Amino acid sequence: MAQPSIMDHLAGEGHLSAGAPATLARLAGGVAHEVRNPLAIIRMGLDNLARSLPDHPDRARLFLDDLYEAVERTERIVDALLKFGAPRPLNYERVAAADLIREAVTTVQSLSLEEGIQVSLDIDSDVPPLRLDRAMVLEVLQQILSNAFHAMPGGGTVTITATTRPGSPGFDGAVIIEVCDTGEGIPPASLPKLFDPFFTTRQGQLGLGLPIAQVVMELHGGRIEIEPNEGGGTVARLAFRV
Amino acid sequence: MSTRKILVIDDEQAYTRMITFALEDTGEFKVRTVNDPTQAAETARLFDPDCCVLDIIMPEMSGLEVAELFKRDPVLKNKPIVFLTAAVSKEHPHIQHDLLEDCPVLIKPVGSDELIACIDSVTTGANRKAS
Repeated sequence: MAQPSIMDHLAGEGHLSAGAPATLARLAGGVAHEVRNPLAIIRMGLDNLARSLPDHPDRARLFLDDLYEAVERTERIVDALLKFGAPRPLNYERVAAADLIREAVTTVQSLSLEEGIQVSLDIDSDVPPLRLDRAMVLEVLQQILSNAFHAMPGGGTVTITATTRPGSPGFDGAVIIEVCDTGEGIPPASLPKLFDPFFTTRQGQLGLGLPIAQVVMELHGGRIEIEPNEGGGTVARLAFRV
Repeated sequence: MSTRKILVIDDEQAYTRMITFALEDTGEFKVRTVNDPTQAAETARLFDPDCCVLDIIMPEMSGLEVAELFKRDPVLKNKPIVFLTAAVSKEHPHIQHDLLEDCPVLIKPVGSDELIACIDSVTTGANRKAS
């Protein structure tokens, strides 16, 4: 029997907000466009190569370089999409927020050391354990931390907090994890596009990190928000139901 | 037939380079490329192309917006356009626009022979609609 995919999870059991299918639709459209473009280069390049090889070895080298680059791009796109859409079960477990945060920080620590970035943790003692897929949410945290570190090329401070928001009638309680950086901030024009598949401001990036993070959070019945931080920088906020 | 001037507007620099070689190697075309679509109209006025090969999804300005701009421009409004895009498929077109009905649309990836045949059709006026 086939394992349920993220798509199946999204469709079932009322896990998600109404926005998730639209996100996936945008993702699918982005896939077609982003994969076909490098394939188009390869196809036209091969035509050129076939004509040029016998008489123009120098030109053939130029074509080949472009083709290698296009092939690598295609491979990275496909790898990311397989990671996102391949059938995989959710492995729920109880995880202490503090452990998860410390593990995420440890795995991306090399970036902060290189850039001279200080990392500060402030985790409330009353934050309850979270029921989640540890590996998937760990990747979300790593993505957010990586974004924060890259936003501070000249150094700065990343402050990670975990707090509990008590429930009230009609509103579940939540655990809020915030990652605040003192970096260059996000241009206002980019804010509405942050969760669009393939939107990126960094050279060589696919622009799938935040869209995948959004789907993972929705899969857990939570949400992700990113907004300018008062006083500069950016704050990324993860909200988990408890 | 004298050398035809082709303006290729696509944000992928490697792709416009490939198209340039593919077309100019035939000896029948002189190609100018634009990777920033906001520069397309100005370049077109200066270059006076016989045909524009136009991508659709580009940053800053889509190919459809570029085409609309051309159609409103008294100098450029009659320039033949060939859309060359990765945004739609022949089986499942999901971008609707009148210009896509009026101009040939080629779907990436496309071979050089198919592109040249389409350019031939619009520059000779023999067939304004690509198959």
